[in-house]
Amino acid sequence: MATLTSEIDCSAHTTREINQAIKRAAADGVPEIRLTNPAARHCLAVP
Amino acid sequence: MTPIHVIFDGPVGWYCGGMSDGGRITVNGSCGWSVGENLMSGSIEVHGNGGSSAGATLRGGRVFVAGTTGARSGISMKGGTLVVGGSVGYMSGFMMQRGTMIVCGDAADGIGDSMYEGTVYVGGSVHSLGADCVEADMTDDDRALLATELDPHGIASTGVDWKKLVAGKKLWNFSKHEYDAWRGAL
Repeated sequence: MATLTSEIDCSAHTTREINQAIKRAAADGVPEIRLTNPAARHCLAVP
Repeated sequence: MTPIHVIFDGPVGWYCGGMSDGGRITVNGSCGWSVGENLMSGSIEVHGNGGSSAGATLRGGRVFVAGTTGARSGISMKGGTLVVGGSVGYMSGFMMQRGTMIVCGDAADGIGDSMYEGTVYVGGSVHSLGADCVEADMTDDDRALLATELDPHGIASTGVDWKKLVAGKKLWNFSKHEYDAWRGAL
């Protein structure tokens, strides 16, 4: 069963990895994902 | 399945949430150019300022920017709703084809330039209208829409001198009798 909240520290991942993690969380039914340290990175949450 | 809620704790750069289809994105910070570019459905809330071209080519859904956005916000919108809590830069609503843009602050020069359809509401001052953009009368439906869109954000829609801007429709078809209108637009 999907966890209620997922958290990702953006500083430890590439933009591609972050977007893939968001897509995966959406597909798994995770209701909420929190991303810290986005650092004004471009093209976040782009499918 | 409940649409996912994506929360960014901090500022994001260009094209955040671009081409998304469903879901909800919250940015606890400011964003760069073209937030929600070509958004199909869902919502994006930015609790900060936005860059240029916020909500560009929006097709559906809703983009809310609490602060101010730059030039050409809502450019070529094809649907959806763009709400800006502050002011927008020049040529915002340029070539709008459908949808709703709500500007709670001021609109810089050329608002709604060459818009085909859609509606722009401005609560503050309008520096100048773009080519073929005209002011229309506010109706009760317009005020109800503004209350529906702004109340959830704690933004007052009453006691504001709203301007409703729509297409003058003179650019829909070329007419040599309105050559000056076309020359001004081009």
